[in-house]
Amino acid sequence: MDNTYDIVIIGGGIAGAMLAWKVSEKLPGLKIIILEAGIDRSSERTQMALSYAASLNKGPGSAYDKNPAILLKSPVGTNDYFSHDSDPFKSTYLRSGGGTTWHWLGNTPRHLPNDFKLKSKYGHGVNWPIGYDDMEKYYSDAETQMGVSSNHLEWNGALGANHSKDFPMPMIWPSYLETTLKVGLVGKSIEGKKIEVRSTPQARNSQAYEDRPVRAGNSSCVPVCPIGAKYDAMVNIRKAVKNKVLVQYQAAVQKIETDAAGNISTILFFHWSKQEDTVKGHIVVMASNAIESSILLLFNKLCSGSGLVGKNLMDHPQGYGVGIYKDPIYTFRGPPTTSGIDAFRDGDFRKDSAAFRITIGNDGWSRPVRKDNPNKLDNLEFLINEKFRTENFLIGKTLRQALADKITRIFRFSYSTEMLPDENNKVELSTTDPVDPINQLPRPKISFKIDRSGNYNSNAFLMAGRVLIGLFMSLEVAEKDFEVQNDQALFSGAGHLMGTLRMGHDKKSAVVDKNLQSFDHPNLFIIGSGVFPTACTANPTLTIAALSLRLADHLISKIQSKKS
Amino acid sequence: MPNLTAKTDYPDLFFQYSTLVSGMDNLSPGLSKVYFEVFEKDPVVQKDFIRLLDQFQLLIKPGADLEKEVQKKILTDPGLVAVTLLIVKLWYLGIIPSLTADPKNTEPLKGGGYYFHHEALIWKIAQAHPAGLSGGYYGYWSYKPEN
Repeated sequence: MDNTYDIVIIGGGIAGAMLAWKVSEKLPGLKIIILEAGIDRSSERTQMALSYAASLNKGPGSAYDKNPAILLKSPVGTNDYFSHDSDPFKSTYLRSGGGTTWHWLGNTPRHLPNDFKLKSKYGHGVNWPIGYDDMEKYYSDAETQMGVSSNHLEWNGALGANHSKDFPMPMIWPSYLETTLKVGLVGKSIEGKKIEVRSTPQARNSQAYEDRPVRAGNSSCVPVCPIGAKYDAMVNIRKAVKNKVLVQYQAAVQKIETDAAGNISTILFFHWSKQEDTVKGHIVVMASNAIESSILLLFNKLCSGSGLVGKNLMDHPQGYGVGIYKDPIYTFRGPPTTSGIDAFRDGDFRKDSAAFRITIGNDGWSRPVRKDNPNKLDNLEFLINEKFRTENFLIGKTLRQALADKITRIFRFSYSTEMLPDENNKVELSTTDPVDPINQLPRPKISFKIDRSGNYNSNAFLMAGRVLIGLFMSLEVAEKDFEVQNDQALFSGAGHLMGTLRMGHDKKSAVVDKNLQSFDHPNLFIIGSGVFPTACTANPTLTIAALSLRLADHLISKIQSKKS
Repeated sequence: MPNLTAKTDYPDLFFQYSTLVSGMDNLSPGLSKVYFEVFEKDPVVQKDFIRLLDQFQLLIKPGADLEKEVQKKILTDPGLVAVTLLIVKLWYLGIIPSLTADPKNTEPLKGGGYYFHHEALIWKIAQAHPAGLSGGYYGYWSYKPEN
């Protein structure tokens, strides 16, 4: 069998799925293969939802823990990441067909125009080699592909970003909790910014869309949608397969060879059975995430011209605030979140402080912040302990009423901060740890530290703390009834792996150019959030999808011009 | 091992005690049997557990204010307080994260975890569905619960 393909895509997450679908749609007959290290989990959806429902810990891993081969955890859970002299890297990812979109929340905000020019506008980080105008059409296309629900009137022109098309679906109805808070915040300003609660664009269905159902409010977007109302990249994998794209699951790439001209020639991969196989590609696209793509490139000594592969790893470090509202607002009914506050995503304050995005949470007790009880598993237990021990042990209906009184009034704000690229935050090949059992590659050794002591990101934590206190006070929540976690040292991971394969203007300062083509290997392209030069505040998935669709157009015209 | 061969109907006593301390009138009898076994078989708490049920049995008399009696005769004994708290937690959380009343102790009960979180009473008093198991219609979350 001829093992040469027009395009070989390494990684079957959203980046690879979008690219494969669009190229195969426009150029039928092209020979395309996706090599995916994980399995197709489509038949396990119901079982995963049940595992989640039965678990007290509602974290991203709760649906997947029984299959550790596919989940790479942070050192908070196991020792699968290896950090040195640094903060732990707290975000995880999935090895699976469809990638981490299985357990993403589904939020799809766009980057803002000023996000692409952070250096020239605010003097920090670097500029992107492309701007919002280069991306606008592709954002719109990605929203259509993924099925994004939101409110065009709220978003068109907001924060300087025009939207040339309406969202494909209307906004998801906000929860009673969010509407109550929105009403309570009308007319309020904090830190000089008008507070507007706005619908968050989300790749979750507010009506039946293509062949997927309307959402049912299971409160389980993270870690798995039980009914497929949330977009995951298997949607575009299935479309690509219909277009004759071949998807090879359990195919873990290890060696990548180059020819004399520097082009990628042969790709060697292992099936999980340990059997070796090879493919060749006229065009090769690295579409794994920022950590796994870095490992592959570092191991094979590829893209080494800039010395930047693996460097500038970023996340969106998070903090929280939890409050007890004056009336019942009923948490855990419906989606984990449908609304947010975007006022602090851009502004002149970015000269001194990183930006941040605020979300309102319907999952009141799932992200505890109590300083005296930081263990996630203990949050509800703490409440029961506290109430049980009130007045010489509360039992019976009095205990039930005391618990109900608190639980029906609890709500959450959380914030995700922008962090700057820093070459000391990096992925390297571990020389001491056991190799990855699936592809026999070295494990990632991650060094990660977010800046402290009066710097850009720590200023955002301080500002977000002030803003959250302002929000609770504006809502007339008594001081004893809210708590804000804005200690930067206690940050949480957002699951947003960015920055290790930077795109830029030249070989010295970047790994790929503005068309995502490697400066070192002419037939190699890289997609995924690894190419983001800066982190900004938007959840990265929509931008990953838009960049893939943009690359698809580039490859289509390249292939067409070659044929003609 | 405690002697469970006597005529005392311990599972029924456990059900009655659970109803009393949880403050819920409609506990699941089936789940009660499962939870009873959790305590009965646990080597760390089984002794105090049976002692608790024996004590409780003595309090059941016509016309007695059981809640007051439990406060007076059971919740003055540290060992029985600890077991009662575990019973409350198991019903409300569907899981017992810790062996003792110390909130910092997250060691699971020996014999493995007991994962019935989707059955936990916490969802009933929150007037919400267990996360992941909605069964609701689109948009129900925009309204207050009916009850």
